[in-house]
Amino acid sequence: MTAKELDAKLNLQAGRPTLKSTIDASRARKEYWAGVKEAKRQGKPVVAAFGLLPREIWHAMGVPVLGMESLALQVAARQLSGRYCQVATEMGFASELCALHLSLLGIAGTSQRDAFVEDLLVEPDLIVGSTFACMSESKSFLVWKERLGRPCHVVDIPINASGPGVPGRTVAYVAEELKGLIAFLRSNGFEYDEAKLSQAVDCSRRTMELWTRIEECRKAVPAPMGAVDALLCIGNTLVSLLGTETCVTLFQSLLDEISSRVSCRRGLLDEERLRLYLVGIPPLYHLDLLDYPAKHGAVVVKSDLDFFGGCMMSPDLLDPGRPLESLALKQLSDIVNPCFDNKIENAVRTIREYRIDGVIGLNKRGCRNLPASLRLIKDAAWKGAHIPMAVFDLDGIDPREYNDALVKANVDSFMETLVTSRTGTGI
Amino acid sequence: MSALETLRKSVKDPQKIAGEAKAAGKKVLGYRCVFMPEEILHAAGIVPFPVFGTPEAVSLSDAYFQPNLCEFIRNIFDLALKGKLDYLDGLVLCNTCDAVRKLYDHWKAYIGSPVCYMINNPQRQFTEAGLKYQYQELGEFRRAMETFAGKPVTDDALRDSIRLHNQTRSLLKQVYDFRKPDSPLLSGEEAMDVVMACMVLPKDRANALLKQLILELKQRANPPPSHGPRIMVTGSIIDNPALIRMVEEVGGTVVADDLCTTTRYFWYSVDEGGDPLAALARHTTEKPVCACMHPAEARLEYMMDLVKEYRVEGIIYFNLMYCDPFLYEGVMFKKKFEERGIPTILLETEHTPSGMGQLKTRVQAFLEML
Repeated sequence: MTAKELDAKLNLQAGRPTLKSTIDASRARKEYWAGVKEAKRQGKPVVAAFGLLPREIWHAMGVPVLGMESLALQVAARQLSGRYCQVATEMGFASELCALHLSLLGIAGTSQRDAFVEDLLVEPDLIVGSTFACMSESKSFLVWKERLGRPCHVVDIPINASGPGVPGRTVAYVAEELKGLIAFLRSNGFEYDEAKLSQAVDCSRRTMELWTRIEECRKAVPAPMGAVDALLCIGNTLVSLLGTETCVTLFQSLLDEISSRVSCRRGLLDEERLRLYLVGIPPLYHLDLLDYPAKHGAVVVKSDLDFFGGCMMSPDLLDPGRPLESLALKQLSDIVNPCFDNKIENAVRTIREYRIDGVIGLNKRGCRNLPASLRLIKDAAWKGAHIPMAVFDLDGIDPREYNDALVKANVDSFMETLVTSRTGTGI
Repeated sequence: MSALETLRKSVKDPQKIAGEAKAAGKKVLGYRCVFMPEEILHAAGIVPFPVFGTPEAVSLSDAYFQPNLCEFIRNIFDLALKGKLDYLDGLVLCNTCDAVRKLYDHWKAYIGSPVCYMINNPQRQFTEAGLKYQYQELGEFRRAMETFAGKPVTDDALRDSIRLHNQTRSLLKQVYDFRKPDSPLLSGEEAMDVVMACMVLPKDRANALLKQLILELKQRANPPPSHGPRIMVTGSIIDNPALIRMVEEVGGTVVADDLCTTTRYFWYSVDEGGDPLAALARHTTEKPVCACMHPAEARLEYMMDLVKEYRVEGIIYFNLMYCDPFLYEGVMFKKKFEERGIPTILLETEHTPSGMGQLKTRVQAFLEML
């Protein structure tokens, strides 16, 4: 089947958004980044933030923030990461480190940047690093600190080794760390008003309530929303805008749009044969791969990245009256917090609730965290739901070693196995 | 047999020591890393046993972990899967690097020993909030060990244990003083064996041997050859002295080391007064020995102290492949050391000794440059 024939068969164009909300979310993200640049132009200090710390604090204190992971993801989506990874290895960093962080090191290490990067980047005045959620996050910001010689603050977020029942002492410690962050920002000219932080937490709570309802809609057959929309819409908004009214509005329109698709039983595919769950970072430089299984009548209905930003926890646990403790709990419940007790349980529940037929796991070369969960999820999926999982080596950030034909052949093979096992007849 | 020979012999087969303790009816808990307070286990009557890898190639573990995860950790998990750590009643880990966190998940899921415990220590050191949190974490750990041991861990028992372990630390520092002269009386390889032996031996036995060793070193008639530049070895965990031996064979005089199997283990003592649990919490949150911890500046100063104290002329920074904290830190610290006039070379190695010839050539070239 040619790409054109494939597109004709789908209610989508491979790798492209199908929802208006996704386009609105991309626009909001661009506006956010433009706002950071404008703040710099007006002389406000800009923070380079690493470690996916609670966005609610930035918004409540009016801090213009360069979200460094978001920067790296946007660079990856433009297929530019490879070049910066190469610069980082020429700086002496090992090539087997995380490509997301290597690309950030490369951006720090060269003045010969692409126009796209130059357009996003402003020179930060402050650096905020974090131990969350892996060693790359915990170390790479130090290079930026060294290069720029700017004031730097580190926020410590321990692991969540206790699954859903995070001990109170750990929550209290993280809340103290967040207080330390606020004190650092105040000492650099930003104002703190707890009422504003409570409002931001309330926005997050409302967003997560909407998210829960959106997720209920996404369980419908046929799937009203695929992985590309989820990544671009939910991902874009949660990374930069969680804790704002803009985010609430975007999620409300997403819910309306999805609900309307569900009520008229409109899915991504006319005939949905298989439903897939994706674990890991997809190739951001080749999002069409997420729609490729459509060739086999399969839809990636859910990705574990959708749980990003604390979305595994109940919105009821976010209490605007106790904003710091709520944010601490959210941070500790995040899907990327290491240790897998709660993630395994979450994966099995997702497989059941979304009526998943197969799981695709992606092993990102430089990541020590997510790929090490793949065997655990694979076993749990089989034991808990009798669903198979295939694991492919694929770095979602650095395109240099991506082999489209090989990856697609692997997908074909897995899809054929799923169809065979489902029908018992083969293809 | 001299004390040095006895100590070196005991580290050749550490599993035997743990096996003997187990056979004597004691509970034995494996642990990683230098932030694990051995004193709490000791006071509970449990034998703390530092788990090392072996030079054996990883096999079974590859079905569980991706190959781009720390080979040292994959090696330990491999040993566990093969039943070679069956003498352990469990494993205690500390919140350090990604690979250790993954070992925790996998041990819990697949090994099924009675204990798999993670001390969720803070990674930002020298803060009051961190100290308070670590105190609570250790309190929880103490309670868990009391339950496992079936006996209370009293403050008095903890104080006795702290004194015993401090004596080991103090004696090891005295042994390390013999590396300070122009012609050191102890080679780098010997020093590493001595420290690793003290990690695995019961502390009273280790202390007796260390006292005897100090007397022997004072009268050592045949010190190791030491003509080459004074070198400090640092980097990721090295649990096999082959690398240090290689540096010494090609002419380096390894006078100092900053490794999980050497100074990081014993450099800082625990306060013996007041609340013993608070002292242990302070010890772990004010010991700037690990690249996983913050602030990096504190660790740099600790290393510079070693450089000055042992009059180091060059640093060899061995990084295990996929050991992220040291892979990042190595590049940054190399620049810092060289700004301070200390030539530094970064070398990437595998846990299973291989490619030694290539490393040897690079070390030789570095030593010649010095």
